[in-house]
Amino acid sequence: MQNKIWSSTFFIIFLIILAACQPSPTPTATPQAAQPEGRKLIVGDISDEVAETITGTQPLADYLAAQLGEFGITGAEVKIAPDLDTMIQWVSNGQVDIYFDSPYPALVIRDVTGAQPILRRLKYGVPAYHSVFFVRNDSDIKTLDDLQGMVVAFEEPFSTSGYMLPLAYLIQQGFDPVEAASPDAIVPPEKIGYTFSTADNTTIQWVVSEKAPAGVIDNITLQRLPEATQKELRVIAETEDVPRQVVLLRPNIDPALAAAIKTALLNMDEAEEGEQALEIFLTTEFDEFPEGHEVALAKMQELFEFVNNQ
Amino acid sequence: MKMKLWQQRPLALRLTLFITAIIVLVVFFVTTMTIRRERESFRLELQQQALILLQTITASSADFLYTLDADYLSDLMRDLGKADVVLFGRIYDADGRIIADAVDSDILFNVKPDPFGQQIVQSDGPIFVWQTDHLMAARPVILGSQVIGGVSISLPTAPLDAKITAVRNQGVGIALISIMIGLVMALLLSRSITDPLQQMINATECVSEGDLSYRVDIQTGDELSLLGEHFNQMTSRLDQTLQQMEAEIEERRRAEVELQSAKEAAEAANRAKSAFLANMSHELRTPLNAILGFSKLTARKYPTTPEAKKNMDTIYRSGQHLLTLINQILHMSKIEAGRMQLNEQTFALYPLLEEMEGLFRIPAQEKQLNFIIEIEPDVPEKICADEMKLRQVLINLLGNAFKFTEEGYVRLRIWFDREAAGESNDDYSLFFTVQDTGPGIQQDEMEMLFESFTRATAGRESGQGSGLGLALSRQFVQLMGGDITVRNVANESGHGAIFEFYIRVEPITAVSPATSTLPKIIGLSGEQPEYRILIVDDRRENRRLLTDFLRPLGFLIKEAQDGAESLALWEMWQPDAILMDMQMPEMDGYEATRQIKLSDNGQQPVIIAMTPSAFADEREEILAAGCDDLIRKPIQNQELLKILRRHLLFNFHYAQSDSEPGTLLAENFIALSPQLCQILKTAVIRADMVMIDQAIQDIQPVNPQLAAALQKLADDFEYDTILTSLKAVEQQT
Repeated sequence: MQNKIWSSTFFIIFLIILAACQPSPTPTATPQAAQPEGRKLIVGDISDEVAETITGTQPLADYLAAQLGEFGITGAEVKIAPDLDTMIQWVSNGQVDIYFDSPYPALVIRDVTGAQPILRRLKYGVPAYHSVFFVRNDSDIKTLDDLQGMVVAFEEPFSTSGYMLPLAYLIQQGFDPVEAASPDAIVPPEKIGYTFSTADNTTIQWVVSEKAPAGVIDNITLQRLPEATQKELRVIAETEDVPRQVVLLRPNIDPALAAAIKTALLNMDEAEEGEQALEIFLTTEFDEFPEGHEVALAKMQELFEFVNNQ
Repeated sequence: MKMKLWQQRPLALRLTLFITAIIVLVVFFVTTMTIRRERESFRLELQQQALILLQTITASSADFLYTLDADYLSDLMRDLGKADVVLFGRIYDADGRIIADAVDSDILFNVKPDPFGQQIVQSDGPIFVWQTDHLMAARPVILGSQVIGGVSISLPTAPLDAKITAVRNQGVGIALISIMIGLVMALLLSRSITDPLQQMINATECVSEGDLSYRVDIQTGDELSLLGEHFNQMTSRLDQTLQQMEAEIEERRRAEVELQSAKEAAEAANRAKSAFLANMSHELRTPLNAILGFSKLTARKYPTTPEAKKNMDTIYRSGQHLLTLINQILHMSKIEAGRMQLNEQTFALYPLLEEMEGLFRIPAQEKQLNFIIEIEPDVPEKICADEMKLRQVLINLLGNAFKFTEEGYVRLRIWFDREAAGESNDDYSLFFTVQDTGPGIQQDEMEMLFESFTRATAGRESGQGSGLGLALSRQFVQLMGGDITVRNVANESGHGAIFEFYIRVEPITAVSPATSTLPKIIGLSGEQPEYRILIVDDRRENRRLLTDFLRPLGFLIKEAQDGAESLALWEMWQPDAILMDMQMPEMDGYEATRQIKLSDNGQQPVIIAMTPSAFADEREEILAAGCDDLIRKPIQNQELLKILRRHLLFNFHYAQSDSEPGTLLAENFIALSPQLCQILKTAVIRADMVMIDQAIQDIQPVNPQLAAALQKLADDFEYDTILTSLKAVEQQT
């Protein structure tokens, strides 16, 4: 990961230098609005695409902060954590007020920090999703049985759809999954290996480029692939649905503030500014868990415990 | 045509256009070259830039390409696309599949390799493909010896287009500025040339219009300035010259006016002189005409002793000489007036010389001088020349010789110089030398000897002569194509003088009718109508002279003393011919002739004018008045009969004579048929004796007497005598 960051940084610096050498329009200065001293609303996320994530989240944070002025909230800040442990610390220390993530990391943070799940986030308008095992259409692999002795591409260790759901599914199906270092690592013939590609796109590419015989991504990502690519791929297995994303509030938050945040989020799609922020946040709306968050996260809790017990 | 139109344009315009065209061409060339160089430079630069970018992408992506980290590579290319550096950028896997694209994510995750990606991963090095608006650059990504993928980018050539456009615009701008500068420079240059030229044109126009005071002022200091200075010098000199010329012209004009006045005065004097000479000639010739006529008539009508006849002939010749002297003055006047003309005709030379011998026999006898005439054998007997003028020259020279020679001799030598013949084969020089044993001529007088009214010492001492003789002689000789010289015997005076002249003559073998010996006419032959001749002259003796000559020959004669009487007689008597004196009191011959010719009263008579005038232009005036012919006074009887016969076509009866064979033959040939005459002539020319005998035999039955005479001549080989008579008859008939 560190290597990736340095490469990105080096590349971006180079692009900046290159762009400076090219005749380009004079950049327009965007003066920062004067922020009065006061408490800020902190919105947290885990991502290795910091800029993209901040850009997509900041409008929502600002919108919420604007709704919470009565609580001394004078602004909003988006904090990106590189991994789940960092986020656990930030939530625990109160450095993050609101946290959005898929059920598996959300469940981990709730369990570790005591954060409260309050709402369901409909990312891409999808309330729930699941994982799919896919191979190339011209592959000889027809079922999960054909994957024994092979390495399947997962996304990353705290991913719901790219780790927890497929791992749990393999175990439930009676396979003995084992982590491998790379797609071409050698695993025992009776076992199904899995390795982390770190991203869904990489998982797909590995399968397409035949670096990995099979991969796992969520069904939404698969549906968003180009139609031609979809035709070249074949799904060999699918897991059950889980909520798409969960909204968590840090522990010990002022209940009035928590209620105000919840209200603001729920009504966000009704205000024009809120709707625009939602669109940038790739979200259609926030709603209550129909069955309540305890029930909605219970299945996920069950799978988590099932995997941990293996 | 176009070239002509171009050349007709003003010089300044042509220079300006020419220079401007050169500037435009140069700027166009430079701009084109600059654009070309810029394009090449930019392409190189863009390729270099693309290569650097490819290397950078490769360095940034090699590790991730090895692990096929599509997510990172996509972010990388997306960031590249957002940087607005490339039109597109792609990363390919080892099989050429597109893993990441800078602008289009829809082409990702394709199972099938991209053709260009395949080309990249199979290549050994960078690939550059120039498209219309971008440069595609690619290279494989190689780690060690393993090709793990490839990268490609597309850089826009818009900057190149912008740069070329900028260069082109810059070129156009420079061209426009250059053209404007060039125009100004061309105008200045052309003006520096054309202004002085225009000055020169103005100057030449002024000069052509006569204004020589105009001066050009060209201060360029170059050749044009020099030209202007020279032009000013030229006009200045021209002005001076013209002023001098004008002064000279003015002076000359004044002289011409004076000359014209003098000329008019001279012409008036000359007219007076001419009038005087004409009157004098008329007044002198009329009595002389009577003397000559009656002496001839007396010799014809009253033949006495041969001595008396000879004396009568001398009277006649002396009268002729007197007439000649009178004519000298007239001739000189004519020569001075440029009106003297040659009257060349064929004549026998020997009778002329005999005439000279007879003319100067008496002076020779009186002074007991020997008169020697020497004729070289090759001198032709007959020549074609102006007999009158030759006679006059000989009389003048011989007369002078006899006049100034007191003892010794006078010798006339005639010789013929064929070597001195001119370019014409028909002309020869006939030389005459008159040598005497007189006092000779002083050396200093020789040059003025031939001038008019100038006499040598001897002439002045003798008190004789008019001073015209030698001048007239030289004029005559020169008129006849020759020249006259004088020298002393032994080249010093006291031993005699030698006058020598030559004339251009044409030798003639035939005999002219004027000199042929014709039989004597005794009257009109029988069986002819009567011919009425009216003689009109205010001088009674002239009328009588003609009447006494013509009436015995058988003509009916009436006389009229003036024009009016001649008109009355013409109407009443209807004459066949009228001999009309042109100068008469009251109505003169011109008026009478005009009235007769204008009348339609019956048959028109033949009018023959009688005039003493020797001027040729008067002949035209006389003929214009209506006269059919003219005869000069004093009238020669033979010439009168010849003219009358020419118009009235009568025949004569000739007197019989056996004095000379030629005479006998001539009078008989007239009655002979023309065919027989022609046969005889041909036979004689050919000297064909058989043919001559045959012709004589043919003549025998017709004219036995002629045949006998011809036979005698043929036997004596006198063919020339026969031929001469035949030709004389031919010309007479």
